[in-house]
Parts: sequence; C-alpha cells; structure tokens
Amino acid sequence: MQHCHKMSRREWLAASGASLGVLGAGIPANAAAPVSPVSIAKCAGYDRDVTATMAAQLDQIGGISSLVRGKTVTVKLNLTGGGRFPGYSPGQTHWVHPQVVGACCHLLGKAGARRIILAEGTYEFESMEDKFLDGGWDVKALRNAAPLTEFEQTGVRGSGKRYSRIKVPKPYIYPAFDVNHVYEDTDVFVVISKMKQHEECGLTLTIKNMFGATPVSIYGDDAGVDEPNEKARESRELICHYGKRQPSKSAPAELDPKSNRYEGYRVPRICVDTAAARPIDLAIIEGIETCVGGEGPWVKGAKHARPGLMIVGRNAVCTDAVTTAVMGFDPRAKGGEGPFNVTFKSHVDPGDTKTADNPMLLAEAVGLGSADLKKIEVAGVPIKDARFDFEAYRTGRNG
Amino acid sequence: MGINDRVAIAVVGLALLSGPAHAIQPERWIPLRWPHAAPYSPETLELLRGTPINCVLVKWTQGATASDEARRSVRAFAEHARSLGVDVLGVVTAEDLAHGCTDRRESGLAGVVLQGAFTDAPAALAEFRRSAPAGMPVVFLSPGSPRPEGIALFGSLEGAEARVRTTEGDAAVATPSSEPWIDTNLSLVRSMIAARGRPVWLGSSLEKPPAADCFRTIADVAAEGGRWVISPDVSFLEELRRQKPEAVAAWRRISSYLEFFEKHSEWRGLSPAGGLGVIQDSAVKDPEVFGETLNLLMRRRVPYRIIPRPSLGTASLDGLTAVLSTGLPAPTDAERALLAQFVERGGLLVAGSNWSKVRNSAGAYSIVPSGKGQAVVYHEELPDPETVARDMPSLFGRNRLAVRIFNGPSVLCPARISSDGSRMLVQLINYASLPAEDVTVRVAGAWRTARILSPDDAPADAVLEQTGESVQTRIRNFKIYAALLFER
Repeated sequence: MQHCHKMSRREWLAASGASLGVLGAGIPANAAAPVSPVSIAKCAGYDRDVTATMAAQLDQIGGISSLVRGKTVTVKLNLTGGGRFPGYSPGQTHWVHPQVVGACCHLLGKAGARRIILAEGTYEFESMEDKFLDGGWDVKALRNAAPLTEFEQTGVRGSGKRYSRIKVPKPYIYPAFDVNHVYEDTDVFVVISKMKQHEECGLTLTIKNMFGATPVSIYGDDAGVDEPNEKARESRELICHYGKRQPSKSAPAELDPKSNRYEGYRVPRICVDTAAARPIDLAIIEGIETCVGGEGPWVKGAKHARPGLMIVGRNAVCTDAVTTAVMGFDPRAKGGEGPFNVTFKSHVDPGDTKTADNPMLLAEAVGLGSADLKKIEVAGVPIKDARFDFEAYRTGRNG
Repeated sequence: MGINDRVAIAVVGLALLSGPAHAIQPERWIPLRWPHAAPYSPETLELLRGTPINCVLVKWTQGATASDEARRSVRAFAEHARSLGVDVLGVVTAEDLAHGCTDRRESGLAGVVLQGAFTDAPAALAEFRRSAPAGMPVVFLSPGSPRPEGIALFGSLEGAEARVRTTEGDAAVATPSSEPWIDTNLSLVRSMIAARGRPVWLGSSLEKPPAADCFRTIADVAAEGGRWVISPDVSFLEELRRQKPEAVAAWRRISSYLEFFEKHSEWRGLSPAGGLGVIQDSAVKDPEVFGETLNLLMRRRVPYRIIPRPSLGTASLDGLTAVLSTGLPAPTDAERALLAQFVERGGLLVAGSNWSKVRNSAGAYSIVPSGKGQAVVYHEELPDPETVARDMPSLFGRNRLAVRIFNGPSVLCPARISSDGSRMLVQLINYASLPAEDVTVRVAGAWRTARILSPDDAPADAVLEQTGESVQTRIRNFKIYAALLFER
C-alpha cells in the first residue's frame, strides 16, 4: 500500500483522535502524510485527443507500466444517479465521460495490464452494461479499448461467491467494510472521478467517490437486517448518511453508534474510511465538462460547465487537494468553510443548520496523503493557469 | 325534465334531420376544433385542403342570442366544408341543452358533440338521445357523466399536452434515482379503449391549447390508437391565412404527423405487448389513483395490457406471467379462483389487501407463495401508484420485460404485438424539446429484422444485435417519434 505511513501512537493521537473534536476549527497539517506529484492538463473537449493528454499526464507522474504490467486492475467509476441536464449526456455533466474511461482502459492495456475491471455500484441492481447504455455509452467500444475488459456491478455481491472484508487501518466510523470481491481481488486500484461540487459534502472528488464502493445490499436503506439483500435498490441514506440503522449484521457495525449522527460529519469520514480500507493507486479526475453547484441535475441551481481539465495523481489526497485548488477553493479549508460551507438543515435537529467537514484534512490526519499544496509537486499546467472558479461560475460572476 | 329541456331537445332533433346525406364514418374522423372566436368563413376552411383533417367541431348553439347572420354563416361554413369532404359537428354543452337551441333551423351539421359535464342534466340527456334522429353520430366528450347508449365514439377533454414538465428554466424535475416528469396520454387512451373500444378522441379544455407544436401530443395519443383534437387558436389560423412561414411550417408538420398515423392505421389492430395484465374495473375504489397507477407503469416503461373486468377469464390471462389486480375491488369467488389458479401455475399476482390478510413483512407488501407462483399482497387495498410502479419492474423481473430502452429518460416506448406474434411495434416518443440521441432499444425474443419509421425521416433498416435472449438496436437520433417494426 503506497500511501501507508507508520505513525507512532503519539502522532496518531495528534493527527486524528485528538483533532476529531476540533475539526470545525481546522486540523493542523500532518507533516508525516505522504506526498505524490499531480499532473494538470487542459483538454478542451471530448472530441480532442483525450488519450494522448492522459498518456502525457501519466508520464508526468512517473508512468504506470511498473504499476500495472501483468496485473489485474480494477477501475472504480463515478456514474451516480439518473436524470439529465437538458441537452447534455450524463458524461458531460455528472458521470465520468466514456471517452475518458475508454482512454484510461486503452492506456492501462497498453501499459501491460492483464485484466481490467470497470466497477461501480448501480441503483436497482442494473447491470453495468445496462448502466452504460443508459448513459448512451458505446459498450462494444469500451470492451475493445483494452485486451480484456470486464464489468462488475459492485452494489451487490455480483460475480463473487462472497463479500470481501476490507479493514480500515485508522477508522473514523466503521472498522471495516464488506464489499464486492473486485475491490480485494485486484492488484491495482484506479479511481476515475468527476470534478464536481456536492450539495451536502462540498466536493465530489476521489475520496468522495469511494462512498459508492459500499454495496447497497449491506449499506442501502433496504439492506437486509441480518444478511445482505441482493435485491436492494435504495441509496445509503439511513445507514451511512444518518446512522439511523446499522448495516446488515453480517458486516461490521460502526464503532460508536452514539457518535454524531449528522451527515456532514458522517459522510466525509465514511468516505475516508473506505479510501483507507481500499488504498487507491491512481486517481484520475475528469473535468473536461461537468456541472457546478451540485453533483447532479437533481440539485437545484446546478448547471453545466466546461472547465476543460484533467487531473491525475498517484495519491488520492494530493490529487483531490490540487483539484480543489484548481476549482477555486482552499483544500485546507476548515469544516464549514470554502467548499464545505454547504449549509442545510440537520435531520438530527431541523432547527439547526449544519455544514460539512473537509475529507482531505480527515484523510491527511490518518496518514492517507497530504492536502498541503506547498508540499505537492504539480506537473503540467500550473494551478493558477488551470483555475476554473466553480463558485464564480455558479453565481455568474465569471460566466 | 323541465319545459326548457323538452324544447331544446326537440329543436336539436329537428335541426339535425337536415344533416348531410353522404356516408358518415365517425371512425375515420380526424378532428379539429374551430376556435369560437374565429369567423366561420369558408375561405378560412381552405386551410384544411391538403391535410388529413376531415372533421371540424364548431360551437353549435349560441343560445337565443344567435343572430340570423351567425346562423347563416355556420350553415355556409358547414356546406363548404362538405364540399371539401369535411364533416362539421356541432358542440353542445349541458348549458346549451338547458337554454335551448330554439332559433336553430337547418344546420347542415353531420353530427353532434356532447361536451362537458352532464351530471346535472341526466334527464335532458336521456331525452336528447331518445329523440335524436336515427343514425345521427354522437361524440361524447364527457367522461365524468352518465353515458348514454348508442354513442359513435368517446373522448375526453382531460388530455394533457405531451411533454417533459419543466420547472425553472428548462431544468427537468428529477432526483438521483428518478427521471424527468413526463406528461403523457398513453395510459389514458389505452384505458379508455379497453373500457369503451375505439375510436377515442382526446382533447384539451385549455383556453388556448397549444397547436403549433402539438405534433408530440398527436403522436402520444395516436401511439395508442386515439386521436388528438387539434385546437388552433384564432391567432394561429390568422398567421396561417397570412402564410406566415413559421405557422405554415408547423401546419405542414401537423399534417405530416396526422398522415403518418393514418398511413399506418393497421397498427391500431395490434395489441399492447407485455406479460403483465392489469385488471381494470369502473367500480374501483378510487379511479384517479388507479388511473395514476396505469400512468406511472407506462412512465416506468413496464409493458402491460389492460384486462377489463367483464373480460376477466382464462383466455384473458393467456400469455401473461403477471397480473396486477389492485384495481379489482372485492373479487368474486370465481375471480378469486381464477387468479389463485394463475398463481398456482407459476404466475405472479400483485394485489391489494383485499386479496389476503397475510402480513409477513414490515414493508409495503407481503409475499405469499402458492404452488409454482406467488402473490405479492400490498398492505393497502389500493396502494400508492408510485410504489407499485416502482416495485413492478423488479417484481416482474427487469430482464423479462418485453421492451427496454436505455439512454432515453425523456422517451416512452409503448409496444404492440400482432395476434400471431410475428410482428412487434415499439414506438418511441421523445417528450423533451431536444432530440433523443443514442437510444438503445432492447426487445425480448428472436427478431430477424426491424424497420425504423418516422414522420420526420425516411424509413430505414435497423441494425440488430443479439444480446442473450433479446435483440437490441441503437437509434442514433430522432426528434419526436420513431417506430421500430420488428419481424420474426
């Protein structure tokens, strides 16, 4: 696991446990968190040479041949829910675009990956092929992008005989997760995410994308009480967002059922827990086109935008931090500030208004990676030249 | 019945006696509602020349205030229409019956349209029907009123403008796991035809119903074998008369849509496809809730056919794998036995709480296995339509649906099949203002060929791809309507 860094108990307490209580006031930088270069590239459209752009970026961060040659590579996508922004395909707004996924598969295959598994959880136990078709994707082209490309729907047990248990080294909420086997039975784990804001969590980048690795059969609203419900189709509101119930008893329960039930507290921590339990080897964030103001068309005020950017890095936290800066935000913003100033009414106390915590600082605190821009080497386009101010665009100040 | 009623009905009958002599075929009428404020000028009628429209609805009586000139203009209008092969029908409301058509004489009308609520004038209505001239076609656009016998065709003014409903700007209403809200008439037409037979007209009671872009609504209603009553407003007719290019283009397109569905009138003989039967009974506890269930099933793209309760029998269940009986209040012993046998043999029955007292789940329904099949019993007698529609694809089995579409959130796909199963018609209706692109259509079964037909484009062969026990094809682009005709 490349990001793992052994910390002393004192470091750990300083970085995580003790700081948990002061997250709202900010967390000190974890000097021991690993750092890895991040590449920023401009890419004006999906009809441009996305593959060549991504290839150059992968070279800028040290290449991937040694990482993937002869290996099984699982690629977690970011397809999220349905609905459309009128006139745009999902890939242009709130899903990763098939051109980017195809380019990634092609480059992984070219670099020698033996087998590529495209993975994502879908609603209503829809197969991956059908989900792709629902986005207007050319499934055949995707299959042909690399020598052996497979699809796995990870919202359920899928093709595995059983779920895999992945442990969280330094957990916030859950000590371990039961997930689809592809998250364990893989040599390399790649996450492709959309560069987006999020209505409740502030941002949807690599760390937030890991939320979707939890199977709805165990963590969905209609998950089985004792065993997974392989026909589950609900989202993860009750268990993950609100903590109103526990996952199926077959999976580990959360550490402290009496901890804060507020989703702005829980979801960022659960995302960090999943990202820690399933270490990410390569993070690709796609913002060639996207939406601003929310993670999908169901968010009031969200709209389409063309940042024309791709960001790639080996460390998920570093990659998210650079992307956050490119989006015009401070990656070290305290909970409730900057992109995390997403005030909404708490379900715990409807009279109270809450905000979200910063998952990058949470991840840094447990040693997943640094969110400190001063330490992160940026290759390709400098941050200042790549900046696409999401809030300014959303509010019409520059767009 | 009051004296006014008697007078009115007598005069109505008298006036219609002098109607046209040429053969009248209500089933072939393609209707247009003449705007009340528009002049009954024969020259304006020329706008219908070259279009398939062959039936015009005019407000027949304007009560005792109608002038001789007004009466003469209507008559001249009707006579000129007849020379164009167009029948003119007089629209009569309950108020007209009450206040009389006393100054009406020779009308030249080919039939009458009873429109609106007649619930307060049942006696007048019955007398009207009794005294009406033999053979006089009557169109009944009054779904909520007692329905007299001998009606040529039924209809409703409760039709909706077919479209994706929008909120702010052009942002469609949606949630992470749902799709845009589509206003459609598909289930209403299907339900009306199942209950009353064809033909069925649907119109709108809006003050200014949209005409210039009603192609989608024409397709929406025609896809189920009904006819949309085109209702131009005065300004649109005036723009047409002045040959304003936009109006002329819209008019041509309306005409081409009407022509398309008349050209393929044999499609009306195909039956709704799908393995789900929905029992429909006029005595259902809450017709609106049941109607919404049909509507949402259509919007969830669950292919179904309606089984009118009087037709419920062994033959009506042939070929079905599931039956939805939430619309069947208090099943009789015979109906209960029939459906129980259906389940025993492996069928899926989805019923309301009147089917069984079993409650083995805290969820919305309990599952009661029986023989080779099972009953899904909702804990409410008439469960929430959204719940039923949402549950049905998974209860039925998504992969067993006769037709599925992908990448078409604004597209519905009513499907029809020939009685011998050799032809399947999948109609794609796009309710969004932007074209539908890269829509994949998957049809269960072994189909050899498929032809794409549309009022907007030349016919073409579809490229079929085998996928499991289905075939699928990708439609690159269509604007409003495209039909895929599959053949074995």
